[in-house]
Amino acid sequence: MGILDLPGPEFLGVFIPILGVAWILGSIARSRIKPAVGASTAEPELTSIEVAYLAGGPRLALAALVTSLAQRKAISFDARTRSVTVVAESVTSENYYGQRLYTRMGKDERTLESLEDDANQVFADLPERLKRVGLLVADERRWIPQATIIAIMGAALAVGVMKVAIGLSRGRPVSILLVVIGLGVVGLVKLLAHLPERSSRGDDVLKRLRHRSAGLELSTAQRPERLAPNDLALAVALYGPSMISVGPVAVLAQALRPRPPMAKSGTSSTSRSDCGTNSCGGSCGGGCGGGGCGGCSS
Amino acid sequence: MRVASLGLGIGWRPEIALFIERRIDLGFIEVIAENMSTRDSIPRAIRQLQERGVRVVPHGVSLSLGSAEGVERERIEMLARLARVVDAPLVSEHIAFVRARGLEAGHLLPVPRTREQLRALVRNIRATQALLPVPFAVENVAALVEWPGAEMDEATFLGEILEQTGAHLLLDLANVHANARNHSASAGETLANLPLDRVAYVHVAGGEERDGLYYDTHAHRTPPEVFELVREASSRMDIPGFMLERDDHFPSDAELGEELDAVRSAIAEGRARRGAHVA
Repeated sequence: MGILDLPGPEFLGVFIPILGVAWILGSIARSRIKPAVGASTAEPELTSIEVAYLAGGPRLALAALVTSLAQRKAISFDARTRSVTVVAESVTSENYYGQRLYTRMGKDERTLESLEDDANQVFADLPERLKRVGLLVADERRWIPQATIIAIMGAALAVGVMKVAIGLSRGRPVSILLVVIGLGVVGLVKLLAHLPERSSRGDDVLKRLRHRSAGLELSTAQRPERLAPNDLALAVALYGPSMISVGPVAVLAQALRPRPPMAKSGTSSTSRSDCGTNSCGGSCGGGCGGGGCGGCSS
Repeated sequence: MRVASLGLGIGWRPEIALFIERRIDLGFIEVIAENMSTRDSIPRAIRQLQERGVRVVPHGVSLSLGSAEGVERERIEMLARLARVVDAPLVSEHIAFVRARGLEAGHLLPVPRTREQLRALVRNIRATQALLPVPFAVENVAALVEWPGAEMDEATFLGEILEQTGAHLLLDLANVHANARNHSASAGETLANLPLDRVAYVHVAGGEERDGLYYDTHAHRTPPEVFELVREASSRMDIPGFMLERDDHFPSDAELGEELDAVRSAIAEGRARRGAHVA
């Protein structure tokens, strides 16, 4: 006797676990299948801002950039109004993104929130560069994880749909089965939504960078004011702005921490850690990037 | 038995962990033993230094070798455990006392240079050596005040300790300089009378003068007089290791690097002097 020949309750007893296993397999495929193209085996040379973008998208890249500019004393921060102002005439010519941010900021005081709105434009060319070196999932390969998830979940759901057809043809009630199938479809949609932007190679590079930067992590936690601006930006990229809890840049860094949703409605969020605020179903991988989950497609 | 060559080193502190990570010429680091009493408390940054061949020397600050009531076995066992965990070439402590009758001084207090104190020190050092799996080095401390009734000078006192225990000397040249300055003695003379063949490694550090006294702060630049002592020691003998101590007011990486480079240069200049003497 095949599975489709089972009576309704027995079928549900088998189908629900099948659907559950399919969802787990789909989740694994979602977090593991992150293909890149054209990636050489050599580890790419990345700037601290590129690392920040890789770890947490434009928002963390902005946090790293703003922190490094503050460390250079090129901008000042007013904690009361949560706003930054340019205090140095220009940044060095090699600081490409610093210059782009300066251009957008102008001479007026800008709140951090308004700068965050500009972050996508400031770093507009960064995703392509990271895709070229294989650290973000290539557009032309995005179908691979999608197809894998659809194949796994689709196969499980197809069994349910067939059983619905059989039930209807026999005049049996199928409402519970339809509800289960509906839940399965919701699960499928959730798996397909916000697929990870970072490739497996990008995950590896970040993991290696974090592993290699134990000294940076300690020095940032203890005496961030001693660090060169680029080192401080890398620390923000790898460990999040909340790593900087002492020194002149600490107030700005804490303001750059990702705010949980409740904070926007005025609820205190001071006890919240950067880690675990990932809103992409854990797909960012590799520890605490501190910038939420900017590495996911929106 | 002489200690194997350690090369150039620095006191490891988390504040300068990144600087240390980037100095690829370091042969060893010294860690405060009491901050790393368990396997889990060894920072990953130190493990990574070990992976690239940097030796780790545990340096105790609370054994109280000068205590008449003896040293606490648990403290020695902690040092021994740490020495095994980090595969240390040796362990070091101060010739000082930090507690008496349960009262903690919170400072490394100098001991009187008397025969009676010498016996207590020798007993405590031997008890420590008996439980340590590696050689033991004892460090001369800086003393702002001298105990009355000294029966011997500092060099003789240190020499007696080393002779009777077989321990090595962690020679703190900044402390030699500080004591000479504060007690109107000659640092060069002290150095000349020390058994340099027993030196395991050397501390180099800075200090500052306040109200007519020189304080060994480890928070200021190393003064020229201490560099001269480095040259002098190097001119007399090949010393296994030299390290810079910096505990506070950490300067920029560039400045700290310059100071380490200056230690290296002073060692080379001292060796060159030895060559000149021989010639």
